[in-house]
Amino acid sequence: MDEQPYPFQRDSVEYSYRFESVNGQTVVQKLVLITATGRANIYNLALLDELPDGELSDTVVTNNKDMPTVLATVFSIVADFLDRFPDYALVFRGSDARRDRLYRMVLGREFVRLNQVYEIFGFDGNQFVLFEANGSYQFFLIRKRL
Amino acid sequence: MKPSDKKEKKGTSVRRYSDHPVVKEKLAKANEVLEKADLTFLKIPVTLQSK
Repeated sequence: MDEQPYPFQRDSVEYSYRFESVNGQTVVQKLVLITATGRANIYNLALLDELPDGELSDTVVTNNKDMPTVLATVFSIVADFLDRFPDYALVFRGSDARRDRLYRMVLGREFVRLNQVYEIFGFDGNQFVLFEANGSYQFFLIRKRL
Repeated sequence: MKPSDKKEKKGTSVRRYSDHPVVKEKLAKANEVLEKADLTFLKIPVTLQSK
């Protein structure tokens, strides 16, 4: 991923990271929250907007025209988390079909580079299979190569 | 103060996002998939793909 990510901060209370998406005068507070699932060593990653009233949303369209930078930042956060916890895996999905397509497209574009360090799987409705750029998946799973 | 905020000893408010309904809903969807999925593949490192 060639885009320069935004700087981000780790929260010491839970596995959360925050950064600001900036476009001119418009600043959107972004939150990446990593939460334990019911399966050992598997965590769920959620990208959320923190709205001015403090509410969280995964559906708001911010139109900040910086999606490549936001995704590069999220990926830096994934790398940071998996560096800290190399035995863990992260699962994630888009909050709608458009975001799912975007994640699949970016993973496909970066696959050769990512695949050197990470294993990436997609859940096809029945099972997790090795990620393929033209696959259709309900969830993605990424972990560091052992 | 929002319900998901918690007071610390010196009055500092620390927000715990994992209690938020949006986060809980996303986690529930992940758990739904993970509960039915066969995860034994995680015990087997895969070889590099050539895509």
